[in-house]
Amino acid sequence: MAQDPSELVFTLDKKYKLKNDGTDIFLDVIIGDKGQKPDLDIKLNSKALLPPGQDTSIKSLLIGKDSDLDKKILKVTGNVVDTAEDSNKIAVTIKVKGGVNDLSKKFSVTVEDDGEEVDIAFIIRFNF
Amino acid sequence: MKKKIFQLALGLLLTAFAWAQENTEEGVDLLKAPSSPAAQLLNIAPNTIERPTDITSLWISVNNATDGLAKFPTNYAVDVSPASLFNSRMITLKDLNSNKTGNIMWQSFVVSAGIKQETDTLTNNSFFKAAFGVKFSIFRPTWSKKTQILYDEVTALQRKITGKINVALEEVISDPGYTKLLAKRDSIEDEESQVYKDADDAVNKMLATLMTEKRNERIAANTELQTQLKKKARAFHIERVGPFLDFAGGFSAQFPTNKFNYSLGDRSGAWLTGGYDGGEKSLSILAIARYLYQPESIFADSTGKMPTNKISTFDMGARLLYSTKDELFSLSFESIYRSVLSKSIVKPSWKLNFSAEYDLGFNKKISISFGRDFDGMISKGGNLIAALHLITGFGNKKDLK
Repeated sequence: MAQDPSELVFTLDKKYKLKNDGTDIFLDVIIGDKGQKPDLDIKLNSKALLPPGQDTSIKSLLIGKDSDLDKKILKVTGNVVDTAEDSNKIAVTIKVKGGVNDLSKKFSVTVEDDGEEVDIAFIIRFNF
Repeated sequence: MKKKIFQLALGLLLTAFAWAQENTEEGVDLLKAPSSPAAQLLNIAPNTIERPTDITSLWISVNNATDGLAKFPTNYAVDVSPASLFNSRMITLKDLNSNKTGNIMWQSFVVSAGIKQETDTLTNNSFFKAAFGVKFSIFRPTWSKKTQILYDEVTALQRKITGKINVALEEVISDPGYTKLLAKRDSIEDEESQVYKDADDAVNKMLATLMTEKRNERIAANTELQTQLKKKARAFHIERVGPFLDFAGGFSAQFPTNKFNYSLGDRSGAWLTGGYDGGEKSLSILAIARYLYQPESIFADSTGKMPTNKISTFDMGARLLYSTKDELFSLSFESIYRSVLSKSIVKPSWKLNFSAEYDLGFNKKISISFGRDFDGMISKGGNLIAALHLITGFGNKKDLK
């Protein structure tokens, strides 16, 4: 029986409350297991924060000062493909830090077919 | 008749090759670093070594071996890769091609530990031995062109899919049903309230549902794209080409009274392995230097009966294999040096094998081989024997392999 397609789509839409005191806001997008291959676009509104097609985990990416982020929308989109030789597990953890509370959400699936691809669509809506 | 001549020619060829290959398989490979230094120092079977990949499995492994931390294990070895244990989710495929020494050492670093209960043959008392070891790469070959090309092809396909996901997400966030749910969530001030949590759940469920539908539509409309990506991702296998240098080392101690405050040094070893990995074909070079203290047996002692107590040994080996891409010409060279450092009763000895072969075509191969064994017994007159073979096959023009 084929794998449920909904397991192969990682999505998130969250509001993120800012302190509005000039604190820097950081983003992590951590990809697992060892040897998996991501392809990620990271945009704040329509502005790309990194060149399109990031193929590594993202660690402590500065999104901006919280005072500049109200009503702005961060989008992390892309996919991860199963290229690891000794694991079929694809895990994606998104973390946003610097606001009133840290946000951390982990998604994980063990793909049934070698070489399977997982979609990513994360939306973070900043607000005071 | 033709068949018999062919079989004879083939037999001669195989004999020549067997002689040339024999020492290659048993020689330098004997010096290779163990997969787990601690397990080897304790003579623990490789198939019983625990290799946990996360904290939970490490804890389960230790807990099982110690009966819930109630006693020391009697035969336990574990290999732990800190990168896998604490940080594996940071190591993507691209990171495995990093040429930074820090990354290479971190990714390859393995801590090996073990404990074993043994019985003293004189007193019949049982006592514990423990070992600790490490291994890591100092530098490693980079990906071959073939691997890099496949990586770039996978990337290009992933880019196309990401483009389609971006379009799909824009369509989803302007979906009337979705915007209605967003407006409802935004209208709730208290983000800790159950009403807000329910509204937030509804938004995320709708997003997941709509993006799954978009994925299904995309796959239906782009079957070839998805199939190609899966096919290439499945075929992805890392082939490396270039120089490498690895280190492995460890030591063991015994506790005759089973108390930590009294221990005796037992065995130790260090392995330095370097060379050049030529990928699937062409050139490969391997060089190994090995130091052992109180080894299981002394490599330089051909009788195998010499006591190893307080004996240090140093052995080295090198091997070169080369073949042209058309496989018409191939060459192999292997040399081993072995010695006992702490006693002069065994003289250092060395051996060397060289063989080369060229395929002339039309069932003709010319080969040359020479060698010197540790004891020099094979040599005649000097310490070199040489043989030149010209092998001709009769019959049709099938290649002799």
